[in-house]
Amino acid sequence: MRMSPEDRLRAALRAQVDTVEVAPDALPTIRGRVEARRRGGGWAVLTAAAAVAAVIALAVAVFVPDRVPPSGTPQDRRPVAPATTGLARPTPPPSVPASTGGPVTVQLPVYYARNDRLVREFHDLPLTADDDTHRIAAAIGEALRHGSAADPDYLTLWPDSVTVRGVTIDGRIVAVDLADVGPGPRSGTPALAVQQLVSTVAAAATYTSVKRIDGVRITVDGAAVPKLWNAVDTSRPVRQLPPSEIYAPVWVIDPQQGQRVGRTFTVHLAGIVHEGTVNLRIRASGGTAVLEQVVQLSVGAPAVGEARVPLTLGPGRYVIEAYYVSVADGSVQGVDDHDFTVG
Amino acid sequence: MLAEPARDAGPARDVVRDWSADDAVTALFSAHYRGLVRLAVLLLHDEPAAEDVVQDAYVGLHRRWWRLRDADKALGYLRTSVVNGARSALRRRGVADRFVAARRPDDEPTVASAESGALALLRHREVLEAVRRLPARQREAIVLRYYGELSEAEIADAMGVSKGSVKSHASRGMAALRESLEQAP
Repeated sequence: MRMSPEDRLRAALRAQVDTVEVAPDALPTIRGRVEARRRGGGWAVLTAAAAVAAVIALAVAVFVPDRVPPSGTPQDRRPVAPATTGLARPTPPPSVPASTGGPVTVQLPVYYARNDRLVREFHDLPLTADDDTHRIAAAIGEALRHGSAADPDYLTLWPDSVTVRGVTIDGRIVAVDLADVGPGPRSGTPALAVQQLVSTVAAAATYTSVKRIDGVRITVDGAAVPKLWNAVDTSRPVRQLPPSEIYAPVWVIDPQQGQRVGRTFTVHLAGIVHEGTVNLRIRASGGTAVLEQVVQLSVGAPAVGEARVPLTLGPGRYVIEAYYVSVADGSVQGVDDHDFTVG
Repeated sequence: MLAEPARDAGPARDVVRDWSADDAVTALFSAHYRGLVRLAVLLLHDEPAAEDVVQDAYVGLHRRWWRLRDADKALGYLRTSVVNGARSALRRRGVADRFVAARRPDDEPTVASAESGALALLRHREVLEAVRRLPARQREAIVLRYYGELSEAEIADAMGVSKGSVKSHASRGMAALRESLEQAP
Protein backbone atom coordinates (compact mmCIF):
# COMPACT_ATOMS: atom_id res chain seq x y z
CA MET A 1 0.00 0.00 0.00
CA ARG A 2 1.37 3.39 -1.04
CA MET A 3 1.69 5.78 1.88
CA SER A 4 0.46 9.35 1.64
CA PRO A 5 3.13 12.06 1.30
CA GLU A 6 2.35 13.15 4.86
CA ASP A 7 2.91 9.65 6.19
CA ARG A 8 6.14 9.34 4.23
CA LEU A 9 7.28 12.57 5.83
CA ARG A 10 6.33 11.27 9.27
CA ALA A 11 8.21 8.04 8.65
CA ALA A 12 11.31 9.91 7.48
CA LEU A 13 11.39 12.24 10.47
CA ARG A 14 10.94 9.39 12.90
CA ALA A 15 13.58 7.30 11.18
CA GLN A 16 16.02 10.14 11.63
CA VAL A 17 15.60 10.53 15.36
CA ASP A 18 13.86 7.52 16.84
CA THR A 19 17.25 6.13 17.73
CA VAL A 20 18.65 9.28 19.29
CA GLU A 21 19.87 8.51 22.77
CA VAL A 22 20.14 11.13 25.43
CA ALA A 23 23.12 11.72 27.68
CA PRO A 24 22.94 9.38 30.68
CA ASP A 25 23.79 12.23 33.01
CA ALA A 26 21.29 14.71 31.59
CA LEU A 27 19.12 14.97 34.69
CA PRO A 28 22.05 15.38 37.09
CA THR A 29 23.42 18.01 34.71
CA ILE A 30 20.18 19.95 34.78
CA ARG A 31 20.04 19.69 38.56
CA GLY A 32 23.61 20.86 38.81
CA ARG A 33 22.82 23.91 36.70
CA VAL A 34 19.73 24.66 38.76
CA GLU A 35 21.79 24.33 41.90
CA ALA A 36 24.53 26.56 40.53
CA ARG A 37 21.92 29.19 39.74
CA ARG A 38 20.55 28.94 43.26
CA ARG A 39 23.97 29.37 44.75
CA GLY A 40 24.51 32.27 42.44
CA GLY A 41 21.99 34.15 44.53
CA GLY A 42 19.41 34.84 41.85
CA TRP A 43 15.99 33.52 42.47
CA ALA A 44 16.31 32.19 45.97
CA VAL A 45 12.97 31.00 47.20
CA LEU A 46 14.13 27.42 47.40
CA THR A 47 17.55 27.82 48.84
CA ALA A 48 16.52 26.12 52.05
CA ALA A 49 18.61 23.15 53.01
CA ALA A 50 15.57 20.95 52.59
CA ALA A 51 15.37 21.80 48.93
CA VAL A 52 19.02 20.99 48.44
CA ALA A 53 18.48 17.70 50.22
CA ALA A 54 15.54 16.98 47.95
CA VAL A 55 17.74 17.44 44.90
CA ILE A 56 20.28 15.03 46.29
CA ALA A 57 17.65 12.50 47.29
CA LEU A 58 16.19 12.64 43.81
CA ALA A 59 19.54 12.29 42.13
CA VAL A 60 18.79 8.97 40.55
CA ALA A 61 19.37 8.51 36.89
CA VAL A 62 16.10 8.41 35.03
CA PHE A 63 15.93 7.13 31.51
CA VAL A 64 13.10 7.29 29.08
CA PRO A 65 13.33 4.07 27.20
CA ASP A 66 13.25 3.62 23.48
CA ARG A 67 9.76 2.58 22.79
CA VAL A 68 9.93 0.99 19.42
CA PRO A 69 10.87 -2.61 18.91
CA PRO A 70 14.19 -3.01 17.17
CA SER A 71 13.60 -3.15 13.46
CA GLY A 72 16.32 -5.43 12.33
CA THR A 73 19.93 -6.00 11.77
CA PRO A 74 21.74 -2.74 11.20
CA GLN A 75 23.39 -2.59 7.84
CA ASP A 76 26.31 -0.34 8.53
CA ARG A 77 28.27 -2.17 11.11
CA ARG A 78 31.95 -1.73 11.17
CA PRO A 79 34.17 -4.77 11.54
CA VAL A 80 35.03 -5.60 15.10
CA ALA A 81 38.11 -7.16 16.59
CA PRO A 82 38.14 -10.93 16.23
CA ALA A 83 36.30 -12.67 19.01
CA THR A 84 38.41 -14.31 21.61
CA THR A 85 37.67 -17.67 23.12
CA GLY A 86 35.79 -17.64 26.35
CA LEU A 87 35.49 -14.53 28.40
CA ALA A 88 37.71 -11.62 27.70
CA ARG A 89 38.95 -9.98 30.84
CA PRO A 90 36.96 -6.95 31.64
CA THR A 91 38.10 -3.79 30.01
CA PRO A 92 37.53 -0.61 31.95
CA PRO A 93 33.90 0.36 31.56
CA PRO A 94 33.55 2.90 28.79
CA SER A 95 32.04 6.27 29.01
CA VAL A 96 28.90 5.79 31.09
CA PRO A 97 29.76 7.74 34.19
CA ALA A 98 29.80 6.00 37.51
CA SER A 99 27.34 7.18 40.10
CA THR A 100 28.60 9.31 42.86
CA GLY A 101 27.87 6.98 45.73
CA GLY A 102 24.79 5.14 46.88
CA PRO A 103 22.70 2.73 44.90
CA VAL A 104 21.43 3.83 41.53
CA THR A 105 18.25 2.71 39.89
CA VAL A 106 18.16 2.62 36.13
CA GLN A 107 15.25 1.72 33.95
CA LEU A 108 16.20 -0.87 31.39
CA PRO A 109 14.41 -2.97 28.79
CA VAL A 110 13.89 -6.64 29.57
CA TYR A 111 12.53 -9.24 27.19
CA TYR A 112 10.17 -12.08 28.02
CA ALA A 113 8.13 -14.53 25.99
CA ARG A 114 4.43 -14.72 25.41
CA ASN A 115 2.89 -17.18 23.00
CA ASP A 116 6.31 -18.08 21.64
CA ARG A 117 7.09 -14.49 20.76
CA LEU A 118 9.25 -11.98 22.54
CA VAL A 119 7.74 -9.04 24.36
CA ARG A 120 9.36 -6.28 26.35
CA GLU A 121 8.90 -4.56 29.65
CA PHE A 122 10.87 -1.76 31.24
CA HIS A 123 12.05 -2.45 34.76
CA ASP A 124 13.64 -0.22 37.34
CA LEU A 125 16.79 -2.10 38.22
CA PRO A 126 19.07 -1.28 41.14
CA LEU A 127 22.75 -1.21 40.30
CA THR A 128 25.61 -1.40 42.77
CA ALA A 129 27.71 0.54 40.26
CA ASP A 130 26.47 2.34 37.19
CA ASP A 131 28.57 1.32 34.25
CA ASP A 132 28.00 -0.52 30.99
CA THR A 133 28.61 -4.03 32.28
CA HIS A 134 26.45 -3.58 35.36
CA ARG A 135 23.60 -2.28 33.28
CA ILE A 136 23.71 -5.19 30.87
CA ALA A 137 24.21 -7.71 33.66
CA ALA A 138 21.25 -6.33 35.59
CA ALA A 139 18.98 -6.57 32.56
CA ILE A 140 20.04 -10.14 31.88
CA GLY A 141 19.59 -11.14 35.50
CA GLU A 142 16.09 -9.72 35.46
CA ALA A 143 15.15 -11.34 32.14
CA LEU A 144 16.29 -14.77 33.28
CA ARG A 145 14.68 -14.63 36.72
CA HIS A 146 11.47 -16.59 36.95
CA GLY A 147 8.52 -14.46 38.04
CA SER A 148 10.21 -11.14 37.36
CA ALA A 149 7.79 -10.07 34.62
CA ALA A 150 5.13 -7.58 35.64
CA ASP A 151 2.59 -9.07 33.29
CA PRO A 152 1.45 -12.50 34.49
CA ASP A 153 1.22 -13.64 30.88
CA TYR A 154 4.89 -13.01 30.30
CA LEU A 155 7.55 -15.47 31.32
CA THR A 156 11.20 -16.17 31.06
CA LEU A 157 12.15 -19.18 29.01
CA TRP A 158 15.18 -19.93 31.16
CA PRO A 159 15.19 -22.56 33.91
CA ASP A 160 15.02 -21.54 37.58
CA SER A 161 18.53 -22.73 38.22
CA VAL A 162 20.33 -20.43 35.79
CA THR A 163 22.60 -17.72 37.12
CA VAL A 164 24.74 -15.05 35.48
CA ARG A 165 28.39 -15.43 36.45
CA GLY A 166 29.66 -12.42 34.63
CA VAL A 167 29.32 -10.04 31.73
CA THR A 168 32.15 -8.53 29.76
CA ILE A 169 32.19 -6.25 26.79
CA ASP A 170 34.61 -6.73 23.95
CA GLY A 171 33.95 -4.12 21.30
CA ARG A 172 30.54 -4.88 19.94
CA ILE A 173 30.47 -8.39 21.34
CA VAL A 174 28.98 -8.89 24.77
CA ALA A 175 30.16 -12.03 26.53
CA VAL A 176 27.76 -13.56 29.03
CA ASP A 177 28.97 -16.32 31.30
CA LEU A 178 26.19 -18.44 32.73
CA ALA A 179 26.00 -21.27 35.25
CA ASP A 180 23.48 -24.03 35.90
CA VAL A 181 21.75 -23.70 32.56
CA GLY A 182 20.05 -27.08 33.07
CA PRO A 183 19.18 -29.56 30.37
CA GLY A 184 16.99 -27.18 28.38
CA PRO A 185 14.73 -24.13 28.51
CA ARG A 186 11.78 -23.87 30.87
CA SER A 187 9.46 -23.72 27.91
CA GLY A 188 9.52 -22.65 24.32
CA THR A 189 12.30 -23.55 21.96
CA PRO A 190 15.97 -23.35 22.90
CA ALA A 191 16.48 -20.92 20.03
CA LEU A 192 13.85 -18.52 21.34
CA ALA A 193 15.26 -18.74 24.87
CA VAL A 194 18.65 -17.72 23.53
CA GLN A 195 17.02 -14.91 21.55
CA GLN A 196 15.35 -13.72 24.76
CA LEU A 197 18.80 -13.32 26.22
CA VAL A 198 20.30 -11.80 23.08
CA SER A 199 17.43 -9.32 22.67
CA THR A 200 17.74 -8.23 26.26
CA VAL A 201 21.46 -7.66 25.87
CA ALA A 202 20.98 -5.79 22.58
CA ALA A 203 18.29 -3.57 24.06
CA ALA A 204 20.16 -2.90 27.30
CA ALA A 205 23.29 -2.11 25.30
CA THR A 206 21.53 0.83 23.70
CA TYR A 207 21.54 2.32 27.20
CA THR A 208 25.31 2.06 27.39
CA SER A 209 28.21 3.43 25.45
CA VAL A 210 28.21 0.19 23.46
CA LYS A 211 24.95 1.26 21.76
CA ARG A 212 24.85 -1.48 19.21
CA ILE A 213 26.03 -5.03 19.53
CA ASP A 214 27.09 -7.50 16.90
CA GLY A 215 26.35 -10.57 18.98
CA VAL A 216 26.36 -12.25 22.34
CA ARG A 217 29.01 -14.80 23.18
CA ILE A 218 27.50 -17.31 25.58
CA THR A 219 29.71 -19.42 27.81
CA VAL A 220 28.89 -21.73 30.68
CA ASP A 221 31.08 -21.88 33.78
CA GLY A 222 33.69 -19.84 31.94
CA ALA A 223 34.03 -22.33 29.11
CA ALA A 224 32.96 -22.16 25.51
CA VAL A 225 29.94 -24.29 24.65
CA PRO A 226 29.63 -25.36 21.04
CA LYS A 227 25.92 -26.09 21.32
CA LEU A 228 23.87 -24.81 24.23
CA TRP A 229 21.39 -27.49 25.35
CA ASN A 230 22.68 -29.48 22.39
CA ALA A 231 20.47 -27.32 20.24
CA VAL A 232 21.68 -23.78 19.64
CA ASP A 233 24.99 -22.99 18.00
CA THR A 234 26.89 -21.00 20.60
CA SER A 235 30.33 -21.70 19.19
CA ARG A 236 30.36 -18.11 17.98
CA PRO A 237 28.58 -14.96 19.11
CA VAL A 238 24.83 -15.29 18.64
CA ARG A 239 23.17 -12.58 16.63
CA GLN A 240 19.63 -11.34 16.89
CA LEU A 241 17.23 -12.99 14.48
CA PRO A 242 15.08 -10.78 12.24
CA PRO A 243 12.33 -9.09 14.26
CA SER A 244 9.56 -10.71 12.26
CA GLU A 245 10.78 -14.09 13.45
CA ILE A 246 10.96 -13.36 17.15
CA TYR A 247 8.89 -10.37 18.22
CA ALA A 248 5.21 -10.17 19.04
CA PRO A 249 3.31 -8.73 16.08
CA VAL A 250 1.65 -5.76 17.79
CA TRP A 251 2.91 -3.52 20.56
CA VAL A 252 1.15 -0.76 22.44
CA ILE A 253 4.08 1.47 23.34
CA ASP A 254 2.12 4.36 24.86
CA PRO A 255 0.17 4.63 27.02
CA GLN A 256 1.97 2.12 29.13
CA GLN A 257 0.41 -0.24 31.61
CA GLY A 258 -0.83 1.77 34.58
CA GLN A 259 0.06 5.12 33.06
CA ARG A 260 -1.87 8.31 33.77
CA VAL A 261 -2.18 10.64 30.81
CA GLY A 262 -3.71 14.05 30.16
CA ARG A 263 -7.00 14.36 28.33
CA THR A 264 -5.21 14.86 25.07
CA PHE A 265 -2.55 12.27 24.56
CA THR A 266 -0.89 10.28 21.83
CA VAL A 267 -1.23 6.56 21.36
CA HIS A 268 1.99 5.08 20.05
CA LEU A 269 1.72 1.72 18.34
CA ALA A 270 4.24 -0.47 16.63
CA GLY A 271 3.95 -3.75 14.88
CA ILE A 272 5.11 -6.19 12.29
CA VAL A 273 1.91 -6.89 10.45
CA HIS A 274 0.64 -7.40 6.93
CA GLU A 275 0.47 -4.05 5.12
CA GLY A 276 0.95 -2.33 8.45
CA THR A 277 -2.74 -2.49 9.30
CA VAL A 278 -3.50 -2.56 13.01
CA ASN A 279 -6.79 -2.22 14.87
CA LEU A 280 -7.00 0.06 17.85
CA ARG A 281 -9.75 -0.19 20.43
CA ILE A 282 -10.21 1.68 23.68
CA ARG A 283 -12.68 0.47 26.26
CA ALA A 284 -14.00 2.41 29.22
CA SER A 285 -13.85 0.79 32.63
CA GLY A 286 -17.29 -0.83 32.11
CA GLY A 287 -16.01 -2.61 29.02
CA THR A 288 -17.83 -0.41 26.50
CA ALA A 289 -15.72 0.40 23.47
CA VAL A 290 -15.36 4.18 23.25
CA LEU A 291 -13.11 4.14 20.21
CA GLU A 292 -12.43 1.66 17.46
CA GLN A 293 -10.37 2.47 14.46
CA VAL A 294 -8.00 1.02 11.94
CA VAL A 295 -4.53 2.45 12.12
CA GLN A 296 -2.03 2.40 9.31
CA LEU A 297 1.50 1.83 10.53
CA SER A 298 4.37 3.52 8.70
CA VAL A 299 5.40 0.29 7.02
CA GLY A 300 4.17 -3.28 6.77
CA ALA A 301 5.77 -6.64 7.62
CA PRO A 302 8.51 -7.73 7.72
CA ALA A 303 9.66 -4.27 8.84
CA VAL A 304 8.60 -2.74 12.13
CA GLY A 305 5.97 -0.10 11.45
CA GLU A 306 4.85 2.64 13.77
CA ALA A 307 1.94 4.99 14.17
CA ARG A 308 1.01 7.79 16.50
CA VAL A 309 -2.63 8.55 17.02
CA PRO A 310 -3.55 11.73 18.89
CA LEU A 311 -6.68 11.24 21.01
CA THR A 312 -8.77 13.17 23.47
CA LEU A 313 -10.78 11.34 26.12
CA GLY A 314 -12.67 12.33 29.24
CA PRO A 315 -11.28 11.48 32.65
CA GLY A 316 -11.56 7.86 33.70
CA ARG A 317 -9.98 4.47 33.53
CA TYR A 318 -9.56 2.78 30.18
CA VAL A 319 -8.07 -0.24 28.49
CA ILE A 320 -6.26 0.20 25.20
CA GLU A 321 -6.08 -2.81 22.90
CA ALA A 322 -4.18 -3.15 19.67
CA TYR A 323 -4.43 -6.19 17.46
CA TYR A 324 -4.52 -7.28 13.88
CA VAL A 325 -7.10 -9.24 11.98
CA SER A 326 -5.89 -12.41 10.36
CA VAL A 327 -5.89 -12.20 6.60
CA ALA A 328 -6.52 -15.94 6.50
CA ASP A 329 -9.62 -16.25 8.66
CA GLY A 330 -10.62 -12.83 9.99
CA SER A 331 -9.75 -13.75 13.56
CA VAL A 332 -8.32 -11.28 16.06
CA GLN A 333 -4.63 -11.88 16.57
CA GLY A 334 -1.71 -10.57 18.55
CA VAL A 335 -3.64 -8.53 21.12
CA ASP A 336 -1.57 -6.23 23.28
CA ASP A 337 -3.46 -4.31 25.94
CA HIS A 338 -2.69 -1.84 28.69
CA ASP A 339 -4.80 -0.29 31.45
CA PHE A 340 -4.39 3.45 31.76
CA THR A 341 -6.06 6.44 33.33
CA VAL A 342 -7.03 9.77 31.79
CA GLY A 343 -7.08 12.95 33.87
CA MET B 1 2.09 -5.04 31.28
CA LEU B 2 4.93 -2.66 31.77
CA ALA B 3 6.41 -2.54 35.18
CA GLU B 4 7.38 1.04 35.58
CA PRO B 5 5.13 3.40 37.48
CA ALA B 6 3.33 6.01 35.46
CA ARG B 7 5.96 8.49 34.40
CA ASP B 8 4.72 10.10 31.28
CA ALA B 9 2.40 13.06 31.25
CA GLY B 10 -0.42 13.89 33.47
CA PRO B 11 -0.50 13.18 37.14
CA ALA B 12 -3.67 14.65 38.62
CA ARG B 13 -3.71 18.43 38.53
CA ASP B 14 -3.90 18.91 42.28
CA VAL B 15 -0.85 16.70 42.63
CA VAL B 16 0.94 18.75 39.98
CA ARG B 17 0.13 21.99 41.78
CA ASP B 18 1.79 20.61 44.88
CA TRP B 19 4.99 19.80 43.05
CA SER B 20 8.05 21.76 43.94
CA ALA B 21 10.11 23.06 41.05
CA ASP B 22 12.47 20.13 41.64
CA ASP B 23 9.61 17.64 41.47
CA ALA B 24 8.35 19.27 38.29
CA VAL B 25 11.73 19.08 36.60
CA THR B 26 12.12 15.44 37.61
CA ALA B 27 8.66 14.41 36.43
CA LEU B 28 8.78 16.37 33.20
CA PHE B 29 12.30 15.17 32.50
CA SER B 30 11.15 11.60 32.76
CA ALA B 31 8.13 12.22 30.56
CA HIS B 32 9.44 14.51 27.86
CA TYR B 33 13.19 14.95 27.84
CA ARG B 34 13.96 12.41 25.17
CA GLY B 35 11.13 13.55 22.93
CA LEU B 36 12.26 17.15 23.20
CA VAL B 37 15.85 16.21 22.41
CA ARG B 38 14.64 14.42 19.31
CA LEU B 39 12.61 17.44 18.33
CA ALA B 40 15.66 19.63 18.79
CA VAL B 41 17.80 17.24 16.74
CA LEU B 42 15.35 17.60 13.87
CA LEU B 43 15.53 21.38 14.14
CA LEU B 44 19.29 21.59 14.63
CA HIS B 45 20.76 18.40 13.26
CA ASP B 46 23.32 18.41 16.01
CA GLU B 47 22.84 16.10 18.98
CA PRO B 48 25.08 17.78 21.56
CA ALA B 49 23.65 21.20 20.70
CA ALA B 50 20.15 19.73 20.87
CA GLU B 51 20.74 18.43 24.40
CA ASP B 52 22.11 21.80 25.46
CA VAL B 53 19.03 23.54 24.16
CA VAL B 54 16.70 21.13 25.96
CA GLN B 55 18.66 21.32 29.19
CA ASP B 56 18.42 25.12 29.01
CA ALA B 57 14.68 24.72 28.68
CA TYR B 58 14.46 22.59 31.84
CA VAL B 59 16.59 25.01 33.81
CA GLY B 60 14.25 27.77 32.65
CA LEU B 61 11.28 25.66 33.61
CA HIS B 62 12.63 25.29 37.11
CA ARG B 63 12.86 29.05 37.38
CA ARG B 64 9.31 29.60 36.17
CA TRP B 65 7.56 26.68 37.79
CA TRP B 66 5.95 28.80 40.48
CA ARG B 67 4.08 30.59 37.71
CA LEU B 68 3.21 27.59 35.55
CA ARG B 69 2.01 25.04 38.12
CA ASP B 70 0.49 22.94 35.37
CA ALA B 71 1.96 20.01 33.46
CA ASP B 72 0.37 21.00 30.13
CA LYS B 73 1.50 24.61 30.43
CA ALA B 74 4.93 23.40 31.44
CA LEU B 75 5.17 21.21 28.36
CA GLY B 76 4.13 24.16 26.23
CA TYR B 77 6.80 26.24 27.88
CA LEU B 78 9.42 23.56 27.23
CA ARG B 79 8.46 23.29 23.57
CA THR B 80 8.59 27.03 23.07
CA SER B 81 11.95 27.18 24.79
CA VAL B 82 13.31 24.41 22.59
CA VAL B 83 12.13 26.06 19.38
CA ASN B 84 13.58 29.40 20.49
CA GLY B 85 16.77 27.77 21.70
CA ALA B 86 17.19 25.97 18.39
CA ARG B 87 16.76 29.25 16.52
CA SER B 88 19.40 30.90 18.67
CA ALA B 89 21.76 27.98 18.23
CA LEU B 90 21.34 28.14 14.48
CA ARG B 91 22.05 31.85 14.55
CA ARG B 92 25.11 31.27 16.68
CA ARG B 93 26.25 28.76 14.18
CA GLY B 94 26.25 31.57 11.69
CA VAL B 95 23.34 30.43 9.65
CA ALA B 96 20.63 32.99 10.07
CA ASP B 97 17.55 31.53 8.56
CA ARG B 98 18.62 28.62 6.54
CA PHE B 99 20.51 25.49 7.42
CA VAL B 100 22.89 24.90 4.57
CA ALA B 101 25.97 23.71 6.40
CA ALA B 102 28.29 21.79 4.19
CA ARG B 103 28.01 18.12 4.92
CA ARG B 104 30.92 16.39 6.46
CA PRO B 105 31.43 12.69 5.82
CA ASP B 106 30.26 11.90 9.34
CA ASP B 107 27.36 14.28 9.16
CA GLU B 108 24.84 11.61 8.36
CA PRO B 109 21.36 11.76 9.74
CA THR B 110 21.47 10.66 13.32
CA VAL B 111 21.12 6.97 13.86
CA ALA B 112 22.34 5.29 16.95
CA SER B 113 21.06 1.78 17.34
CA ALA B 114 19.22 -1.02 15.75
CA GLU B 115 15.89 0.63 16.40
CA SER B 116 15.31 1.97 12.94
CA GLY B 117 18.48 1.08 11.23
CA ALA B 118 20.56 2.61 8.51
CA LEU B 119 18.47 1.04 5.82
CA ALA B 120 15.44 3.05 6.83
CA LEU B 121 17.51 6.21 6.72
CA LEU B 122 18.77 5.44 3.26
CA ARG B 123 15.19 5.08 2.18
CA HIS B 124 14.34 8.46 3.65
CA ARG B 125 17.47 10.30 2.64
CA GLU B 126 15.94 12.45 -0.09
CA VAL B 127 13.10 13.54 2.13
CA LEU B 128 15.37 14.32 5.08
CA GLU B 129 17.70 16.32 2.88
CA ALA B 130 14.76 18.32 1.60
CA VAL B 131 13.56 18.99 5.16
CA ARG B 132 17.01 20.22 6.09
CA ARG B 133 17.03 22.64 3.17
CA LEU B 134 13.80 24.30 4.28
CA PRO B 135 13.93 27.79 5.77
CA ALA B 136 13.91 27.58 9.54
CA ARG B 137 10.29 28.61 10.13
CA GLN B 138 9.00 26.16 7.57
CA ARG B 139 11.12 23.41 9.04
CA GLU B 140 9.80 24.21 12.50
CA ALA B 141 6.20 24.06 11.33
CA ILE B 142 6.78 20.82 9.44
CA VAL B 143 8.66 19.11 12.28
CA LEU B 144 6.18 20.17 14.94
CA ARG B 145 3.28 19.04 12.80
CA TYR B 146 4.56 15.78 11.39
CA TYR B 147 6.97 14.69 14.09
CA GLY B 148 5.43 16.35 17.13
CA GLU B 149 1.87 15.66 15.90
CA LEU B 150 0.86 18.99 17.40
CA SER B 151 -2.27 20.95 16.58
CA GLU B 152 -2.08 24.25 14.74
CA ALA B 153 -2.70 26.10 17.99
CA GLU B 154 0.06 24.22 19.78
CA ILE B 155 2.47 24.85 16.92
CA ALA B 156 1.57 28.54 16.90
CA ASP B 157 2.24 28.61 20.62
CA ALA B 158 5.59 26.85 20.27
CA MET B 159 6.71 29.05 17.38
CA GLY B 160 5.33 32.26 18.83
CA VAL B 161 3.36 33.07 15.68
CA SER B 162 -0.30 33.14 14.67
CA LYS B 163 -2.20 30.08 13.52
CA GLY B 164 -2.41 31.66 10.09
CA SER B 165 1.36 31.87 9.91
CA VAL B 166 1.65 28.25 10.95
CA LYS B 167 -0.69 27.30 8.14
CA SER B 168 1.31 29.27 5.63
CA HIS B 169 4.71 28.03 6.81
CA ALA B 170 3.47 24.43 6.81
CA SER B 171 1.88 24.62 3.40
CA ARG B 172 4.90 26.28 1.85
CA GLY B 173 7.10 23.71 3.52
CA MET B 174 4.99 20.84 2.22
CA ALA B 175 5.02 22.34 -1.26
CA ALA B 176 8.80 22.47 -1.16
CA LEU B 177 8.95 18.87 0.01
CA ARG B 178 6.38 17.63 -2.46
CA GLU B 179 8.82 16.54 -5.11
CA SER B 180 11.02 14.49 -2.82
CA LEU B 181 7.97 13.01 -1.12
CA GLU B 182 6.49 11.98 -4.43
CA GLN B 183 9.73 10.24 -5.32
CA ALA B 184 10.12 8.56 -1.94
CA PRO B 185 9.62 4.82 -1.89
